[in-house]
Formats: sequence, C-alpha cells, structure tokens
Amino acid sequence: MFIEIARAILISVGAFYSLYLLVYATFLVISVTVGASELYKNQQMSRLHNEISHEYYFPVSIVVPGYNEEVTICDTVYSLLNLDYRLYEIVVVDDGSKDDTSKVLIEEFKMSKVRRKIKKSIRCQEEEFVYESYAYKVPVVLIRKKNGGKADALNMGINASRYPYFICMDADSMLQSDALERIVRPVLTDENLIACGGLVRIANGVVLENGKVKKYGMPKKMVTAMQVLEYERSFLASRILFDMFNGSMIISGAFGLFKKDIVIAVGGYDHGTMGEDMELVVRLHVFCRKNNIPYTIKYETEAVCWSQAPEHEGSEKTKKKVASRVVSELKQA
Amino acid sequence: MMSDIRIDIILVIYIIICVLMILFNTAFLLYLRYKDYLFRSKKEKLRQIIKDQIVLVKINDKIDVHKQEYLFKKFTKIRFLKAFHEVIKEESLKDNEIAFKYLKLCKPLFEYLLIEFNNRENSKKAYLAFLISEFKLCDESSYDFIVSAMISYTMNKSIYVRQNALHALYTSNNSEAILTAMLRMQELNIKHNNKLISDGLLLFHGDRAKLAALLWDEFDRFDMNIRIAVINFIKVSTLDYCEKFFSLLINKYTHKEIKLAIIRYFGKMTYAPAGDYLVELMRQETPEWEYRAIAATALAKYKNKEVVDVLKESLKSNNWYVRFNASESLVALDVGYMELVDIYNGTDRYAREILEYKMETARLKKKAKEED
Repeated sequence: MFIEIARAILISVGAFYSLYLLVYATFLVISVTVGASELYKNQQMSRLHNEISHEYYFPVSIVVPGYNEEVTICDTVYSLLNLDYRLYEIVVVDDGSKDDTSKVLIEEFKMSKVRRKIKKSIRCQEEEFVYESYAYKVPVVLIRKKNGGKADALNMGINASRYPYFICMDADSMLQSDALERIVRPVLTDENLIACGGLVRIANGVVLENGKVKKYGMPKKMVTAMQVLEYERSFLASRILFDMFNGSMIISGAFGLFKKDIVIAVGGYDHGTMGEDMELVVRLHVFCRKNNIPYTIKYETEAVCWSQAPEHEGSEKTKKKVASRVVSELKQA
Repeated sequence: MMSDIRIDIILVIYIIICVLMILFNTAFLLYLRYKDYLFRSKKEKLRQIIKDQIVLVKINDKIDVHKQEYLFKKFTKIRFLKAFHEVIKEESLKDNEIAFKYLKLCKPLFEYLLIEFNNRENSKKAYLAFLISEFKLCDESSYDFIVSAMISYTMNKSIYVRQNALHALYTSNNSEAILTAMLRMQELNIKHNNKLISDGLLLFHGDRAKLAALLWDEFDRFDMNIRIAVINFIKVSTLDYCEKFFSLLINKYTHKEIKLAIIRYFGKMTYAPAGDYLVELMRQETPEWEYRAIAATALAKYKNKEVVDVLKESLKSNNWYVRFNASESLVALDVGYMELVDIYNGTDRYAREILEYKMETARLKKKAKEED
C-alpha cells in the first residue's frame, strides 16, 4: 500500500516536471522565434527610415537613486550629460549613503546648496539637503535623504522631477548616447503610452566612449558571460513576445520611462517589496484596466542601457547586488 | 498515460528544432552577405552612371537618356534606391547645388516610382516619401504630381508614411499643400500626434505668415489637437494673432486646452488687454488651477504694479504649481527686494520658501552663465 502511494506521488511529480519543462521549452522556442523575426522586421523598417526622427522631443527627468555609490556616481552623471538630447534634467537621490556619495558629487559638479522644499505627491522620507548645479548643459540636482530603500529614493526623485515623463535608472548603469531619444520615440507614435522599458545589456567586456560602443566582447569570467547570455535572451526574446499583446509585466529598474501623473496616481513605487519595478508595472496594468483608461506599456529594443554585472564576491554591497540581480533575472525569465 | 509518452523523443524533437534554427540563422546570414557581395559591382555601375550624369549637368549639357532608362528599370528594387540615396548623399557633399539640379531632372523617375509603389508595403512607401523629402522634390505648385501623392500619403494608416510625407510637404514651401493635407487628415479622422504636427510645421521655411493665415481661415474645421498645433506654430513663429486669439480666450465656449495654449501664446507675445485679463483670471478662485498656473507664467512678460501684486498674492495660493510659477515670474520680472520684503518677513512660510528658492536658482543660473 505504502509503496503504491509513493509510486503514485513519484509519477505525479515526474509528470508535473515533464509538463513544466515541455511548456517552458515551447515558450522559449516561440519567444526566440517571435523575437528574432520582430527584430529583423524592426531592423528593416529602420533601414528604410520608417522611424520618427524628430528634432524636438519633450522634456524628461532622469532619476538616479544611489546608495554608497561614491566610486561610480560621477561617471554615471558624466555619461548622462553626454546624451544626445536637448531638454532633460538629472536628479540624483542619495538614499542616506554611509560613504561620500553626496560629497564627491557636490565637489565634482561644483553644486550649490539651495533651500528647496520638495512637494511630496507620493510618500517618501524627508530630504536632508538639496544641491543644484546649472553649470552644465542641463540642470543637475542632488537630493540627500534619510535611508528608505530604492523604492523610497525613486519616489523622492519622482516628487522632485519637473517634467511630465521620468526615467528611472541605476546609479552604476550607463545610457548609450542615443538611449534617451530612442526610449522617448514610442510616446510620439502612441499617445496612450504610459511606460516604456529599454534594453539592459551587461557592460562587462564592452568599451564605451562618450556613450558609444567602441569595442564589444564577451566577459572572460564564465558566470558573467552566462549573465550576458541570459540578459540577451530575456530582453531580446521573451519581452518582445509579451510586448506584442501589451503583456509586459516588468520594466527593469535599470532603465525605464514612465508617465509621471499616472505613476503618482497609483502611489509610486512600493516600499515593502524587493521587486519594486515589477510591482509598479503590475499596479499600472491593474489601475488602467480598473478605470478603463486606454494604455500601452511598451518595450524599446533600440534604447540601450549598459549595466555592470558584479564579478567578484566579497563586499556586503556586491552580495546585495548579486542577490538583487538574481531576483531581477528570475523575474525576467 | 504519462508512461506512454516518450520524453526522450520530445527532447530529440527540441534538439532538432534548435539545430534547425541555428542552421537557418547561419544560412540566412550567409545569403545576406552573398547578396551584398553580388550587389557591390552593380552599385559601382550605378555610382558611375550618376557621376556621369552629374558631370553633364555641371557643363549644362543634356543628361544621357539611356542611362536614365537604366535607372527607371532598376529603381523599383529597394536596394538600388538605397544605393542611389547613398551616392547622391556623397555627391551632394561635393557639390550640393549640382546634385540637387540633377535630382530635379530625376523627378519623372520618382513619379514613376510613386505609381509603381502604389500597391507595395507601407515601409517602402515611407522610404519613398523620405527620399522625396530629402531630395526636396515637392514643387510649390499644388498641381504637381509628387505633391498630390504626398498629400494622399498623409492619409495612410502607417504613422511613418504620414510623417515622412508631411516632412516632404514641409520642405516644399507649399502652404496650400500643407493645408490640404491637414484638412484631408481631419476629414478622415486620422490622429497624428499634435507635437509632431506643431514641431513639423516649424520645418516650413516658406512664407510662415501665409501658412498661418491659411490655417487660421480653416481653424474651426480642425479638431482640438490640430488647433493646439496651429496655435503653437503661430506662437513659435511670433506672428501677431493677439486680437484673434484674445477673442477666443474670452469666449466661454472655447475648450480648456485651447485656452491654455492661447495663454501660453500671450506669455510670448505681449498684448495689454490679455495682460489685464490674466490678472483677473489669477484673482478668480476657480477649482481649475491650471488656468492660474499657466497665467502666472505668462505674466512674466507684463511688468506693472498690478501684475506684481497679483503674483505676490498667488505666492500664498493653496496650489503648489501656482505658487511655483508665480515665484518664477516674480524673479523673471526682476522685482526688487523692497517690493518683496513683506513676503520675506511675512508669516506665510510656503510663500517665503518658494521665493527664496527661486531667487537662489536665478543667482546660480546667472553665475553659471557668467562663468561660461
């Protein structure tokens, strides 16, 4: 009797996993086929100038949340200042860093303290101080606040942003020089667009100069190389498939464009979850469907953001980053 | 039943699919390279033909009819058209005027292509419209075949065909053609992003006053999006439509978005009656704060005591945007410290803070400009 029950359980488990693998493998095959054909179609369209190449786009705020980013933050801001775009602002939110993130930024960009009060349209921790600089082609704003996590820092950035669309990105990521222009294009072709994700690629092994790729190669470390493959598969296959029926459930926290008023209407990023980027997109879907608001959430393969993948295990920060990437990759799969 | 399913067979099937996909990709890439290789010699022949024709144009001789016929035969293939585009771009870098003179002689070729492409995919039509725009092939006459074709393209369902066709018309200096296209789009209820329209109209380098007059005459026939685009075009072109717009602004039946666009216009073009009206608007405590917020910005162009007073009052508004824009305008109007002393020493903390912040940013901007 006992053996028979155990046998039935084992058969059920076997059947479940066989079915699961079959469905997943089928999904992968379909997504890769659809992704490849869509990419080819897009490439052909672009070759024939089937694109909105427009000189005057609308203004965008770039929100960069950072925690203990003193090593990378200045390079990130410099890369943002090199974007081929006319009207935007850079809002860096220092989420109560324990290192000198704010200090290096203030010194490097000769920022001045201003008595600015941030209007809190969505809930977030209080600001400690605000610095601004107008010495560059676009305004650079630094807001230092009490530590509250990435979602809280993003909410502060949204509150401080002046423009109707904002970009959220990671402090250790670099945007390709045409990334902003590319991610904004879908708004001009689809007035119902409320959010648009960009293509996040791994920067390890890539040489970037002034926001342009000079050399592309696979990273030497096996684990990083596997991450490159997984990112490419996820962004260039699954997401294109979901995009075809407005089914994108995630816009990576590393690079995404959002319409500010609707994000404020849903209450901004959620503080209580690790996958705040996915949670926000799901909430946007629910909100628009419930209120019968026509909407589109898109994904733009030509808008590229280069993100650094951790290569060495060691510091607490690296461990956190690895954990965050694992969560992010699981969501993307 | 599960035991009847051969998992190993399913795995083999998937491995075969994966291998076939890799083989397909490899074969397809090789095929594309081979086609490129084959095309290279043809492209060289095309380059030589165009160069020869341009030399003839340079010496004011007639172009070779046989060579043009060769182009007629080949141009229906998109690869040749792309190669033609590349060669012309190279030639125009050497001598822009002669290249465009030659292109004018190629007009029949493009007219022929418009007919040939009639039943082709929209992507190809969009490319043809792009080339017509790049080569500035639309005439100023409304009876021109290419102009008529571009007008019909603006009714296409593909946004790229419409946008490229509109670009071709904007570069033609043909205001009647632009008006006809707008009216047709309106009749067929074709929605084209109003930012694309208003920014696109700015590419028009012909007689902007004439185009604005034509668009204004038909203003009532347009939907709200195009009306706003027209107002923005007139605003950026700094044309005097003050009286006309003012009567629209005070009309209670005018749509809110149009009124807001007009208030922005009066923020660029000063008109005393509009200034008085905006001051009145600021004093009204209507729930529609957008009027007051935009009016607060527009009043930065009207410096008088009444305006300063109303902006100071607005610093105490319940609405953050009204306060923010009012402080920005007070700074832009360069109102002295003594006139604002009651705000700085007043009890309204919000009013004081926002004004102080705006003063600080104005100083920073000025300093940055001086250092620049």
